[in-house]
Amino acid sequence: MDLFLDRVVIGLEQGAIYGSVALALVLIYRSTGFVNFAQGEMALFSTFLTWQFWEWGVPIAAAIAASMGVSFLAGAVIERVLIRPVGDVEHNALALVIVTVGMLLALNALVGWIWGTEGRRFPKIFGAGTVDIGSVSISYQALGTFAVLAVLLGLLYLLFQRTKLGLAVRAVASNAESSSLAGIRVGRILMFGWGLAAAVGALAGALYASELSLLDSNIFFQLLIYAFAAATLGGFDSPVGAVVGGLVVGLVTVLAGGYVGFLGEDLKLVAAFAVILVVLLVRPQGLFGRKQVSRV
Amino acid sequence: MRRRRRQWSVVTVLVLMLGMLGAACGSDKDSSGGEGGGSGGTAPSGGVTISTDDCTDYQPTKGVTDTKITFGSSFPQSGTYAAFAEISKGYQAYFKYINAQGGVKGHQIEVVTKDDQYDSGKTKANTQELVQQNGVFAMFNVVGTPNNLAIRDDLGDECIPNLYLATGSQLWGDFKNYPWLIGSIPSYATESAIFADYLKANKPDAKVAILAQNDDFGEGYTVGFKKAIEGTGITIVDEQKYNTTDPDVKSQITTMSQSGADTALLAATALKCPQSLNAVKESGWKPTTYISATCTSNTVVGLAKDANVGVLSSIYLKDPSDPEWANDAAMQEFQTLGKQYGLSDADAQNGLVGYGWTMGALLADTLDKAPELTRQSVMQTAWSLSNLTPGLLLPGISINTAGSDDPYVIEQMQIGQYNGNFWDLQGQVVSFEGKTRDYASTTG
Repeated sequence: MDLFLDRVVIGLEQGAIYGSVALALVLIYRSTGFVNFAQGEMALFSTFLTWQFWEWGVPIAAAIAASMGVSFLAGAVIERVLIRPVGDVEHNALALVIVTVGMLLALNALVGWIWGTEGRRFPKIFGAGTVDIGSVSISYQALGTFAVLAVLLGLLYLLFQRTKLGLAVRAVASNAESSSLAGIRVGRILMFGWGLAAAVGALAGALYASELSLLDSNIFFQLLIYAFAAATLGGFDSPVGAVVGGLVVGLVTVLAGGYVGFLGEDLKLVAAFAVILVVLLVRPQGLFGRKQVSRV
Repeated sequence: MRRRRRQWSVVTVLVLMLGMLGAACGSDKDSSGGEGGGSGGTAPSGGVTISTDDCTDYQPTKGVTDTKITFGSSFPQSGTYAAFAEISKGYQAYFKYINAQGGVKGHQIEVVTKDDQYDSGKTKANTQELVQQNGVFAMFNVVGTPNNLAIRDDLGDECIPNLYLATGSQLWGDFKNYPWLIGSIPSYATESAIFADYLKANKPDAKVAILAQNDDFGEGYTVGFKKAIEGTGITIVDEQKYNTTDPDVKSQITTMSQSGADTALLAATALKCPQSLNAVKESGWKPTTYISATCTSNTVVGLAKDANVGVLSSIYLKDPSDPEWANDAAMQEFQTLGKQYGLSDADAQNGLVGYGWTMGALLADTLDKAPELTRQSVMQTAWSLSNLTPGLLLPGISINTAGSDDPYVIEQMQIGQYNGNFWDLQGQVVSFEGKTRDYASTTG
């Protein structure tokens, strides 16, 4: 029983991190309609930035905030300089995908060039202790990750549902051309969407590195596939779906790895994909995604 | 009408990601060392002989001029594994020093290096270029198991030596089928046997949980350990695996921590080493822990601060950061001559550079002992070394090879315990000279 509960906690903790990266993917998908392959490496860059601030003596929370600020600006600049000139998803989807794949490789190389390729220690954001609840001990790190993710989701909900800016973002995502005719400055909204995704990625990266206590230049390659799985499961256009999808993927992989003998730890991702496949067969738009309907 | 593009793009994305992960991480699975197949060499009688009858266009002295002998090497100099490039600093400094003394048998040693980013496809292309354009005499200290597998057949067919590979796979002990290639560092199986030996003496009824990387790196440790504990009171109570693509190993460690094991064998490498040490500490489990010798450099094990004290591993080189060797002649030679011939202060404290220095000395010794500077003669010499103690090898460790009777280069190691700064040596050097094959799984 203890082992089961420990596994549930670990699954949820890892799932929360997959969900937070998936959230960044979803934010860009919602505003632009395509998937940003470079999301993981953007988060990598941001996380190294956080590490650098911390290394210079900035407290970790302030370092994360500063890195999120820089990442927001950088995300907006990337949209304006690298993405917009290529075109929009209706007309040039493939080129956009290639640009983001190029960015993935370039950012990884840039990180290696600036910070080298050896591993780094990363501090525990929420301290190293644990809380005992009954027979299960949950680390501060796990509790902190859940709390941050819940607050983040709440803020995003307020942003999208209760502010004019959020309304504009939703309008652009729904129909860029009509939004433009209605006086919304579509370009700025897209820059905002990218900036927001980059900032969320910076936060997700810090949570991940803090969970591992480590950072090096290839940890986000490993994370991105789980984040894709989470976003696919939850629905690529739903922030709540991304987080729920992350938690499910985390939980299923850990439990399948632990209890399904013939899969074991080495094939546990298969279990997660089986779940996703079933969900997509029943609900092609994902658990929380909205059906895409278009007039002909 | 419902649009299908969205679903499709999601599937495409997943497929693409899987493909990229595969490409990024490579796969060093190789089902077998080819044991039992192939043409087979002539059995050595007395000294080791390697036949050149089957060579495609055997060129015995290619790459050797009156004044110079040129080697080639390929290893990651950029990308994720660029840290391995530190090794070459060590041997390049050693060759500069030797060359300044007049070289070996009047020949200056030169090594032309190329960057392969740990991509075995690039290793193959680099090697072809080094052989065809640069006309190298032999390859030397190529890094990586999949990388050396990629060039093994081509070099073997042309009878070009591939000397002292920088990988500890037990595949490199197949003299009969692959006489043109020889390893260097102790095999992962030898390491396992040495840890088992330590347990027999110190914890004879240990209950062991194993964490292994899911490829032949992890398999080498697991198989070697199982063979080494046969007939002892040591038992394996749990075995967990991880893929190099797993973001975390926490769930594996949690399972191990509750398996009743009091000993952990962590057959993990690179960042997964400190990661698994952190996970062990966070789980509250306090086993006797062994980590792979590939993790012993301070830049790797040091990352698991507070979780690395007391951890065991196998050591075969003098650690430059261990004050015990401050007055050691070989260490002083490495530090003073190394700096004189191009090493920085940081290099002179780096275990990987020390390994490179040792490999440089081993190659120079081999060339010096070879009756003539031909490919066949040098290769035969490498396969019949006796009692060499180049570079920074620990006292009591020597290098011996004897063709298929003793195909592994370094088979003696000493258990070390990490104290947070360097490895404290424990007990005596343990010798598995000529016995690595008993623990290796060359047939898978």
